[in-house]
Amino acid sequence: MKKTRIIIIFVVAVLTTYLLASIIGTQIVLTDILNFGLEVSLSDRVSATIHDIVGLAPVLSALISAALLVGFIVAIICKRFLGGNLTYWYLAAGFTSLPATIMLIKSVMGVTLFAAARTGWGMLLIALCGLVGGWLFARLTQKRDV
Amino acid sequence: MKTIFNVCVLLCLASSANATEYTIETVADGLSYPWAIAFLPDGDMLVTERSGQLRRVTNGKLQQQAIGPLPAVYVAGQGGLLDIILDPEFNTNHRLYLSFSSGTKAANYTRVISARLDENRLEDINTIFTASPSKDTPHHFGGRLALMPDQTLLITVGEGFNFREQAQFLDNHFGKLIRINKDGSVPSDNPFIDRGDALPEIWTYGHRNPQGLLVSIDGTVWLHEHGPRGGDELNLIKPGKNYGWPAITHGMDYSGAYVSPFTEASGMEQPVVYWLPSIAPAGFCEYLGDVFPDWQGNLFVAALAEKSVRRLVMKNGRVQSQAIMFTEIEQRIREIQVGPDGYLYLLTDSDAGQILKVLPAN
Repeated sequence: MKKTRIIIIFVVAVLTTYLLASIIGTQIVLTDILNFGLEVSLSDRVSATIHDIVGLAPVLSALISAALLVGFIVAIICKRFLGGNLTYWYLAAGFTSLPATIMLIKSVMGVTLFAAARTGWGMLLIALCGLVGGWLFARLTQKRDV
Repeated sequence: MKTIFNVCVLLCLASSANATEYTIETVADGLSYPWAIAFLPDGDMLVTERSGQLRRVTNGKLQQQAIGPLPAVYVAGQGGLLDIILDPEFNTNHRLYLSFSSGTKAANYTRVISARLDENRLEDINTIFTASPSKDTPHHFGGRLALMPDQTLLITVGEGFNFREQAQFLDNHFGKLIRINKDGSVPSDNPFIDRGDALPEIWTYGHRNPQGLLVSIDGTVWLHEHGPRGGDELNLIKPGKNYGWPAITHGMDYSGAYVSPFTEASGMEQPVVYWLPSIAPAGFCEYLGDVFPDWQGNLFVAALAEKSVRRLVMKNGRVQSQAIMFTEIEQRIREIQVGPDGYLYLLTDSDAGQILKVLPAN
């Protein structure tokens, strides 16, 4: 497979993961605000979601890119040395790489920069976003392995 | 003492042009992240270092021997030994109050002790407040102290960064202004004392990381707090009120996302002033000396990120104008206090921290 195509597929996987994580992250934050007793209209929800998709781009897309890049490389190494189905390794990489990266940053900086990932449920949802990215990457690069 | 600056500062006031000449002298240096300063009746100064030492400065000389023993201080991130204030009856009881972060990486909290100063020893140490619950982040401890005219003690507690939502709930100390008696007991007129679902020490809530606390000469309580990316606030404190964090804010999360899309809401107080971009307000004082008559009654806010001091000209509880001062120092400024001599004292925030004195040029 040509390098250019792999890069394009990787970018698609990152963008998909990013969009899902950003949208879910905004809904988690807005749910907290509802719990404070404030009203959040559909218009508020839509504009906040769009705002965050733009606002999070520099930080979150870089974080997801780094996490998935390392994760997919590890998946290929695992496939080579441990065997198994590469698709499943990509899925595992997608599911674990974002939580691992977020926890690594917390261990260094002491804080969780992506607010949605501060709770167990939030982290699980972000991991599922990564799982979708991993699935997409596997699907587009390794169709015959499915 | 050596003079390091001699400048004429043009104070850009909205109402009128004003000029005050001052010089800045270095009183002491070689301090490790100095955080707060207290002036003893004998002319000595006590300075807390965030790295965990309480130091004495005598005749402009930093004493090598630290004052102690101190309880175990958790030094990490923004935590360490924080504020110090003297009891109003210090002349007779020699008591002082210290705030610091305590605990471990996995379980730490803001704590306040009272102690009696006996030469260079702390005696009769009593823990009078421990924030609850503990947290596993080394950030946002708050830690500022102030005594009210009724001799109750105010304590700021930050929301621990990762626990911002807890600032809106009254069953914990995250993001709260606390009011206790000097022995640690709870005043009977605290606003939530009769609510079963609230901690009785809470005086106000909805704060982020308040590192400025001032009881004005007229009894008004002012508090300033760090916002996230923007949205630092100066708040006029009224007991029982909700100051909004993180339900409303003018700041943005460090990630670039909203903390909240709302800047105002019913039942939540608006700041008197907010700063965009952040100045990182850290220290706070009201000028009541007679050395700088032009500054009489002004509030001074030390700023870390802006490497400045904001001079706030107040009128009827509002900020009439602001001036940005002392930028020529080019250092993060952690604290500003008025000494008994009427001069302003600044603490710079670094591992080679200094005590600087601002005095008239003439």
